[in-house]
Amino acid sequence: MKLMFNKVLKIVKAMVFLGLLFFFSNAYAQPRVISGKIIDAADASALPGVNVVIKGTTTGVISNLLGEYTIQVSGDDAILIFSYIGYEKLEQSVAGISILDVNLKQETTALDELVVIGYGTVRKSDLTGSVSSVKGDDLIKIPSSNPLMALQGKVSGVQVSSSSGEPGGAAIVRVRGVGTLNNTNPIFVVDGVILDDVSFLNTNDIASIEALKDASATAIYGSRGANGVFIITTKMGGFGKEAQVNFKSELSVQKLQKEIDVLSGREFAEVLNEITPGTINNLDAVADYDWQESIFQENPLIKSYDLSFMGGSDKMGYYLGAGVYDQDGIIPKSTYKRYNFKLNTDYQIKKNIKVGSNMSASYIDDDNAPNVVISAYRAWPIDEPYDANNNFAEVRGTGNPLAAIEYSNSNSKNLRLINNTYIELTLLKDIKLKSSYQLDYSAQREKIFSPEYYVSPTQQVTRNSLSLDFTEDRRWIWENTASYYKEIGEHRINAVAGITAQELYYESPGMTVNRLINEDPTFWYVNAALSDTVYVGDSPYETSMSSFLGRVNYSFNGKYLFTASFRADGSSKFESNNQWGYFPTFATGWNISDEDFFPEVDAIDNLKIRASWGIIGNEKISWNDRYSLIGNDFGAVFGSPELIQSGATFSGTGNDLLTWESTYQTNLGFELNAFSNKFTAEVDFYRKETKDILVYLSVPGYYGFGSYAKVRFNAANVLNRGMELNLGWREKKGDFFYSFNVLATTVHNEVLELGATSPSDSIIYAGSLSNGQRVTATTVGNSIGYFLGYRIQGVFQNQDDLDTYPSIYGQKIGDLIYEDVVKDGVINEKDKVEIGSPIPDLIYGFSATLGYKKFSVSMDFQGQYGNEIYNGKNQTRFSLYNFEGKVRDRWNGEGSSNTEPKITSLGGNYQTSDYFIENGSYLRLRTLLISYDLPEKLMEKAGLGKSIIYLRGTNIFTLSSYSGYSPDIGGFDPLSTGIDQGIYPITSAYSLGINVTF
Amino acid sequence: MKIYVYSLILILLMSTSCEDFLDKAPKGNLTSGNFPGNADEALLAVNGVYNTLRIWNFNTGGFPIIDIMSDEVRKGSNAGDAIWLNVYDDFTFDQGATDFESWWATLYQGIRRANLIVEKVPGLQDLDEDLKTQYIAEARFLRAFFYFELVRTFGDVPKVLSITPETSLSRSPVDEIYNEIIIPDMEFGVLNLPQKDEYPLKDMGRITSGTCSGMLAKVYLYRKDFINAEKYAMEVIDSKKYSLDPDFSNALSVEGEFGTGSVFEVGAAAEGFNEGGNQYANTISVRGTPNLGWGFGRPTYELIQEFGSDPRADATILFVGEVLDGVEIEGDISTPDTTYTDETKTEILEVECYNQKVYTPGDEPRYSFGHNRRLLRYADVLLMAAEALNENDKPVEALFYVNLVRERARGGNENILPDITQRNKDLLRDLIIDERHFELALEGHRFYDLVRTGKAEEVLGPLGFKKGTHELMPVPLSEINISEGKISQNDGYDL
Repeated sequence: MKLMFNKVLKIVKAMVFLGLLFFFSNAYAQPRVISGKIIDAADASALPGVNVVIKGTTTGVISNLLGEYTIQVSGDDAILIFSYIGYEKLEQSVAGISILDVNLKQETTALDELVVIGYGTVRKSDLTGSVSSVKGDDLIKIPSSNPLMALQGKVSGVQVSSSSGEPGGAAIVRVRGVGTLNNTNPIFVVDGVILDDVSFLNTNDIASIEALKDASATAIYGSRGANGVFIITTKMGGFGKEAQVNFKSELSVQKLQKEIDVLSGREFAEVLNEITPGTINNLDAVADYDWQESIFQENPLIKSYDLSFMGGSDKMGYYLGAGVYDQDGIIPKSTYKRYNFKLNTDYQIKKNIKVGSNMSASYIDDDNAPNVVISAYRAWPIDEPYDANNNFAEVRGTGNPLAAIEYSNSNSKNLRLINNTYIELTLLKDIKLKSSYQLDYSAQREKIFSPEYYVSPTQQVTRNSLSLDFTEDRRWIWENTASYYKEIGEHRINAVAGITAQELYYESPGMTVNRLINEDPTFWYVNAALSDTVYVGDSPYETSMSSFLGRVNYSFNGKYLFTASFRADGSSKFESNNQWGYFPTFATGWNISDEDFFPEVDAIDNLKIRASWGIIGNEKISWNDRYSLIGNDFGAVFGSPELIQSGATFSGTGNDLLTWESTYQTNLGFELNAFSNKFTAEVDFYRKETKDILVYLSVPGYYGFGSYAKVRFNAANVLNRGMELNLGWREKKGDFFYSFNVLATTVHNEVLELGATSPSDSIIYAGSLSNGQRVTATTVGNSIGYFLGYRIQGVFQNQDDLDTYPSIYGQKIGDLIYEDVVKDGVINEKDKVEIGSPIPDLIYGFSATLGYKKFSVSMDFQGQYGNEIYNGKNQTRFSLYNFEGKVRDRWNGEGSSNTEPKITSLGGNYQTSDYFIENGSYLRLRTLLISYDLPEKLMEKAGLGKSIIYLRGTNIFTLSSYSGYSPDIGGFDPLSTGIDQGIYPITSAYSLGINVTF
Repeated sequence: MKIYVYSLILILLMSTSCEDFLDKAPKGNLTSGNFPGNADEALLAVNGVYNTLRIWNFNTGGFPIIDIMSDEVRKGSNAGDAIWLNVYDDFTFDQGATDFESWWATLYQGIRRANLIVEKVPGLQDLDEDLKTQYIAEARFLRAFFYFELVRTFGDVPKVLSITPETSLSRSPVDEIYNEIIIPDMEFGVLNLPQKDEYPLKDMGRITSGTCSGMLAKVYLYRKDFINAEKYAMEVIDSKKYSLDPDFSNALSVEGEFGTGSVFEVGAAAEGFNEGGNQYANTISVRGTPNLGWGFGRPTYELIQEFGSDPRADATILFVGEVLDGVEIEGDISTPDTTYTDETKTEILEVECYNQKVYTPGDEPRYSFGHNRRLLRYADVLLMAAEALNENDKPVEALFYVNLVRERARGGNENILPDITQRNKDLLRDLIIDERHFELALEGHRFYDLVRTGKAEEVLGPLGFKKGTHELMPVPLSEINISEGKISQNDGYDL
């Protein structure tokens, strides 16, 4: 496209130059005839039906079938306006010329661009739902194995956060807040295939991602739409398109963004002496070992190579892509390699029959990182990793992190095949019947080997073990749809109806054996085990769903838009009496600027108002909640010698009355295009309320369901509401082009009902730290999973304070004073209050691109505001660990500090409190990209086409007061997010890449 | 025209749909309803009742809270670990304490598993009648045992005799639970279960007739029915199926598992729970080096002193610095070797030491999962016999049995633990309780013994025990809340 743009630009420049010349030499009016040919700038095809109008008049003609026109103008100062639907408007002076050939360029920001929606496409101007679109070019700006990470700060209403910085780490995506207490992940529809996860997908193969947000857009997905839907379209060649080969290579270097400030060896020794006087006699002799530095690799690389072929003949189109992504993690033994293969084909086998298939294959070889982030954080800096004999030495507090890396061997290999084959019949011109069969097959093998070793009494394994787990996840969907499209005068109807069925099969047999005959990797097989004890397990299940769907889009005169859709889903997860859910939606849109009464404001190109209401569901619940199962893991040990005898009894209690969670969503949106489409603005207000959310409620202990046994009921109710804003400006001026984008999202999240059967159910505690302390709570009237703890009132400065304020667990002078909120003279659970929320008030992003000739620079900023992070790793202390730097300001006598207590390693100061709350707001320079188009002539000589070389930085800086590696901390469980328990650091990366097309 | 044919085929395909498609049964899993449906499943279900005894929460909710309440044990571990357990050291717990909730629920879980046998096994056609009776007797004893734990801890409790729980029960009086469940269930076991040596070797550890008699003796002691207590204790003794292992330490060691003195013992393997492990000892055993456990339930300094020269101390308390099986007990780096009551360090509060009765050789936590918890030892039966005989004015016989226990404790050293000769009923009663204190220390008996003999206030008062309240534990608050008050609270706990 850029190539064509440059050509047009050249022609235009030449014309303007010539025009000016004539203007000055021949500056008087004189009627005459202008003629010429209008062609498409892209493929030079003639454009019939183009409007040619003399500016400032109503005089005009239309080009003929060959694209030719003839028009009479009054004089040299006349300007011709060429306009054609789907093409950019062009104005041309006629000074001094009689033949004016014109190249029209297809409009890229056109309102009539097609937007992909569920089971079809719709013109942007006819859209009644809230849909945001991201193009593939924007996605490949992030060197990440997961394409979703590239959506961070790119789509309003969507929050993307990291579960971990580990290579291959999952992205956590939330659309318009957290609408349920259960699985709140959106679904992904990749070339029509409905998936739960797209981490296998090669970003390079993606043409666009559309985020469907409101009910109008998502309700066609019925029970799967409530958490939002992302429609991902992969690249495709077109019929008759010339072959295009693209090669891309990128090399990135990763850097740790920052180290966590912990005490040095000497500082730690001083602290030890404060806790137990006389522990270290000579402070000058202690070691000072930086454990963080020891576990992080320097400059680990990401290498990626992509090769793709795209094109077509007159009866077929194809895209063939192959890619390799190879990332070394910042922690040793966390390498991630992925090989992708993609083949999309379309064949027009008969005049009205089209068949095609979209196939992806991926193979992932992933070393799972050893869990050492937290141990490096805790390790005593006065301990060294190796003893005099160069063996691993005991590291107090936590075990030797380097030994943990050495002895960790965990690898998973995953093969995933996805295929969607379809046949489409065109019937009576307006009706299309389509049948598609989709298969998603994933096979995984995970192997974990732990050798026999001894580092210290608490870090040893006395018998080696090998675990081998297989996972098979196989699902198919068969969709049959009929669609109808008709334009009759001012009426435009676009309808679709269909029946779908799907089935999912899952099985994950696994086994663990002990005492391999040899520890060499060539013996990491279960037949090498000497011990005859084999631990086995499996968790098979099968679910199915069948659905009926339908949607009608109707637009009148391009001004009045209506959409109604309906889906009925039946799921095997529910008992037959309650297994069907019905999900309707209604939406309307009004292109108000097209109305006659709308004031003639030149600046405004289009203004649209749209509104929608609908019900959508969430079927992402466990398959077995309805069943009361008998488990067979309940054996008893008898005999001499002792042996376990199998046993079986009740295991879990189901509820056969369960049914769908449903989300009622309303949306009001405004879209504005102005200043010749240079400015775009989109504002949406949304309100979504999810009812019948599945929650576990307590049952009496005497029922005998077991300790803390709860049973699931449809009982809770959650509200999310807020606003989304998306502003853009893009303009080209000569060789200079630039664009700006701003987006912002607000979320107000509130639990309206928890369906408490007992006061103990009126609060859901979650956010368990590894020591069992729970730091989040969910209650009616608050946001989901807020942090619940004590408020710090100060530090006990003296005996007076200790006598005045209540204390707990034998607190002494110098310890934290917790606020006695209920003022009953004791500190207990009742005094815990909301001390923060992991849900940001505002999620935002802004970006700018500046280009001049062959250079362009773009920047993406992304951030969030108003959320808190719970520094759980600092609170979790089973033993004496190293401390964070803030203890340097600790209390050491009356008046010394009223915020930082005296040093203690355990006990009263380590209660859940706002001492561990930190500000989670941040602003991050997500990417900075500098690219240069290599000189065309040079490339042509080399037989290549347009080629780009670029330099890019990712996560270059983060403005944040958070003490941990990165403030980007997510969590899959909506009840337990924003808690840092030692997250694998998210790195910054610097990349050099080349992208060659020929 | 062809296109219409294709379309027709497609349309026909589209309309195929069937209801069965949405019916997906669990895979590899039985669902409740028809289980147990045959003889094999019946045995599985019986083993499932025994399985309850290895559930962590079965052991007083998980942590040894009842021991912590006694004068033998303090919270343990290091000062900052599981600090919520401090409330059991000074009796400041309230009805919201969740340890009671999980304990209560687990006991009822065992009851439901037992009720499954009682309800379903009689109807099984392919099960041999003798085996049927045995299975039912095993399940009924265990049900009675769970109820006994409930009533001696919580007093009145809901009476559940079915797997389909009634939805709005209130508490039934203690007497009703004893008379309608505990005593008949245990008597049924006495009559219908084999003796210890009548089981095949592979079934060692199943409930025996002797287990039932021994537990009945205990039940009657709690009922202060000393005639029956004597009767059932003597049944165990007279059966001659049990004796005291000459070595006291073997009564609890790994070597002594299912030994001659084992009346009721929970078999466990040094594995995870599913493979037969029991986390009971792991909760209590040495913290740090060797890494055997969490170190909760530390023997009190007072207990150490009271033992004096009693050699049983050696097998009861494991001190830091001791060397066992070639492994030096180093303990936990975060626990001070000695903790004082105040800054001046004059009075010792506790010293770092551990419960040796749950010690397992080895230096990995896994090994402590293999400890067999002893729920009833022959020494306990002898002391119960002595206690009942004394109450029944048979001091000579009483002295004989208490001195059997002392003799074994003496280990051949005639200079210590002389035979007791006291025949005054009241004084002898105290001496027998003291003997239980030393013989059965740290095994979960002390607190209950003090309560049932009315000595709790005297011994535990200084720790915070309040007469009229702490004889019983609070009914879990959750239970009261869910029942909307139909379940009542014990005196002194309702706020």
